Amino acid sequence: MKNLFLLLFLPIISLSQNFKPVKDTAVLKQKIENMSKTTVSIESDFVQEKNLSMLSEKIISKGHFVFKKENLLRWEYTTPSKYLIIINKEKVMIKDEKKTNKYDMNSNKVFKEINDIMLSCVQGTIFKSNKFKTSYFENEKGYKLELIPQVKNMKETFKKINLYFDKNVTSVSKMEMIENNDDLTSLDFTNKKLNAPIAETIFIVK
Amino acid sequence: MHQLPKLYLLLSSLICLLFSSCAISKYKHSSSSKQVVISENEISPVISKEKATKYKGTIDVLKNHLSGIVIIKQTDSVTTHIIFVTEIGMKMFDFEWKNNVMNPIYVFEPINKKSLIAALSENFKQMLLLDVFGKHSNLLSNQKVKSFYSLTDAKHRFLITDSSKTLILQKVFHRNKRDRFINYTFDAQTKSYTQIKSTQFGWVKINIELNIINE
Repeated sequence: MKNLFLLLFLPIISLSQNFKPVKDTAVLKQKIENMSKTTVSIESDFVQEKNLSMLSEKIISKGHFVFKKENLLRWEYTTPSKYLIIINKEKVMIKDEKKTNKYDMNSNKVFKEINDIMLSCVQGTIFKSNKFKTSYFENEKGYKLELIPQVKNMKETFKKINLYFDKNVTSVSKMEMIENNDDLTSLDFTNKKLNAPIAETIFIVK
Repeated sequence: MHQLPKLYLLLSSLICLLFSSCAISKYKHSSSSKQVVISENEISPVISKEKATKYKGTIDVLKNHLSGIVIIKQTDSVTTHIIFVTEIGMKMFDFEWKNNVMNPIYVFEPINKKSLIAALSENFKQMLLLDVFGKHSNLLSNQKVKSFYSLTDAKHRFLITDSSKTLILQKVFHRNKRDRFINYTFDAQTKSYTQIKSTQFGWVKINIELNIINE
């Protein structure tokens, strides 16, 4: 019965997500560029869902993030456990329930890579990176950018990164990271506040 | 004066030897002994056959600290997966225990070091009792430890249980020296191990702590 229900309604669900290639990509690129230029801060809740394809298991985490130009990011998980990442220009602090570690971005290649992806994704500017080949899609609700890794270390981990924008291109509404084994990590952003004043003290690495 | 460091070294070695010998001696003598094949009736298993178990996990190797979520799932009668995913969703490793052999299916490149993978595999194998059920063992008892199972292959391994047959401690010795101690906390209501803490001694110290995530 459940399968029959899925068979009947799956085409409708797929249709509502039906993305078509964007005809005028220059206009969309300009919109994203403008969004990035006019956004000085973002504050948002997020729900992260990690789907482990082989095990058919999900890990759902929730949290809050704050971004402030230039290069200030506070990424905080509240459930299922407390975990905090602060990026303050070249410094990174990671605090879990047991330990706090500080790193210099320049001394750690992996952190530099993760930092670049996180910051450029929340700002939507990742499409400008030469590390990805970008394709542009749209439907009646918004836009989707499909980013295919072009460099070796990225290719080893990710098959594809998808970024979703609403129709007005005000901010990234969703992000998906698909790994080579088809594991999927999605991030849904809700309760967004754009360009609200944010104290820099919340980004202090101490 | 210059003899002092040598004296300290000698004394500390003697103390270490005394402690390690004492520790294993606690399990070397028994007042009662019974041969058993370890089954789930003897020791409550860590891994559920019905569903995946999720733990908040931390791994400390030398000065490196890793934290994330560990998912343990038995996918069929002979296969179990142990997957470690960081909070940001990056998979660090996927170990597959199949037909009594642990295989790394995926390891995140920066941590893909042969010795580290071997050490982690061994730790998780013992922590999760993957190689315990179906094995012949002696169920022993003495004045100091009321109930413990002895498994002896390359190492001396003792599984200490309480009166309700739940595991409370696992001690592994190599050539009479302590090799790994694993502490278990069991919740009788949920019938699950809520905390598992493993400490590997020796030159490369590894600490692994798992705390159950209740969904």
